[in-house]
Amino acid sequence: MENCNMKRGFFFLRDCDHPAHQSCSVCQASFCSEHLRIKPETNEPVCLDCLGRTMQQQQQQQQQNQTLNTRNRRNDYYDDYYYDNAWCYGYRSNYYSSSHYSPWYLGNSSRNNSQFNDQDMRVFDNSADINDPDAEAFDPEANVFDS
Amino acid sequence: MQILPKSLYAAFDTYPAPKGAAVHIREFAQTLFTHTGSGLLLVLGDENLPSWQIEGGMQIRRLASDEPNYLKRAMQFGEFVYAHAEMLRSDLQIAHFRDPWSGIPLLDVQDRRYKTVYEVNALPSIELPARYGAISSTTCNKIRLFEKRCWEEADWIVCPSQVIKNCLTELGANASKITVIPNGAKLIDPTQISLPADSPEQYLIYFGAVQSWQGVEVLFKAMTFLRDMPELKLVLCASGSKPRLKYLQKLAVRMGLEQQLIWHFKVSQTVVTEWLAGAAISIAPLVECSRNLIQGCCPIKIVESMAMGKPVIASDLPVVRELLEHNQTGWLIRPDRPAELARAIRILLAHPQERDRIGENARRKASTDLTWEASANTLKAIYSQLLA
Repeated sequence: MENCNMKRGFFFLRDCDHPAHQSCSVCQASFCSEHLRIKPETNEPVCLDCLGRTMQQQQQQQQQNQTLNTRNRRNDYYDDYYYDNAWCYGYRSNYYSSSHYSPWYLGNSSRNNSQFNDQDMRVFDNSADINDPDAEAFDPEANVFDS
Repeated sequence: MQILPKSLYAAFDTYPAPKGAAVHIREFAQTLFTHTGSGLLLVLGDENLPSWQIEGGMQIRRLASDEPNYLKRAMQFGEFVYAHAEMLRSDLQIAHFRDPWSGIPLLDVQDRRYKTVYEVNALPSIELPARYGAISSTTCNKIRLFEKRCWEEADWIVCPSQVIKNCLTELGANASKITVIPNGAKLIDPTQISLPADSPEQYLIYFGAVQSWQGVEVLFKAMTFLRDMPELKLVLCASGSKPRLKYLQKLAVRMGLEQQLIWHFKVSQTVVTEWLAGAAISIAPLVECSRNLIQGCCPIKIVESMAMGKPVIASDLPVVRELLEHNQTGWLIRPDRPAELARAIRILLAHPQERDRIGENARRKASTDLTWEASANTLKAIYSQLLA
């Protein structure tokens, strides 16, 4: 079963390890129920990334139009169920685009060469550390250092 | 009332800890915080250390992570640093960091008003392969990219030795914004220190961390050549990872050194000082490896021994020659040569007047060039320049 495609975190992104439940109607990627919301008017699932982005765009548009503040103008689409933490995803997306910031990704899917992937991580697991007392042992009788 | 910190010092290291790095952190962080009036120290902690503490006018926040994976723990620390720096971005004047895991988040904070200082004591891309043998060049290159960003974007760079400066310059860093500030030590008169009650008549000392590049194995081998001096002991005030310490203990047994060694694990600076005060010779048998040769270092164990007027026998490497001159302020031997090390120990033990002369010369050099006050003054001048 495919895992959820949402990335957790803000500064350092990690994979969500929950199984995917449904696909987002906007980006078509699969997500778990925690990272999906159902759009009331169309009954379509939307992932929190897409939802957050839409909210950010609408908010910016409203600010440009100098209308009433966003919260007062919030329609049913953004009732508490949708608003809960979708804004974080919108903020995250806006932060990345406005600051040209590329977050560190600590997951399995390979994105680009500057980010650590699972293979990089595995080397640093505790078991890969020097936990074998004999690992560095040399023959005490051999005069290896006296060349 | 809690004062908002005006500066931040971040180190991906446990503080306090029984090793030179912790002394360095304390001295530099205190210099920074005194200069700006207040400061926040972000470090790693453990189950025995509080996550928040005010100690001697220094506000300390510790990340106590039980994440066993080094790189994941480094990322966690990055988030920890970022969260604090983001919150304080308008209040901080200077952010000083010791590693890329702290540096990248500090450089990434948007609309920050603070200046940044990158203190390069080591490059993870060079040191980590010594600890994690399976690390690939691809992973090292990725780590190098983070380091590169730090030296490119930091407003100033400080490092403790010319070798490190040369290394950074060769890697592409701008030499005009790098200042070498050697490690310092507090001048101590050994006659004023009460020696440990159980100290042997005559002993050598090795103190500090025991990573593979420190050359403890070479020293062990040298001790096997000194078995005809049963009264001579080697005191090891050692700190390091449990597996590494366990390995060295086991190795000592296999080499038949049980009777010659006296172990003290992770003891405080005070205890180290007491043992150092009674030692005949301090040993720094650094290995000839890329960490010591290419990256460079400034061994605090050498500087502290000099400041106490103790003669040091050390490996003849460029980083050591920055501190010691053979037969003047120290005794240099070719690295990785246990027989040569044993010979040097014999010579100095047989000539106490020479030991005293070299120790006194070393103390004089330390008092003029290698004090924390001198390091602090250089650092303060950099901070003033950045804030001007």
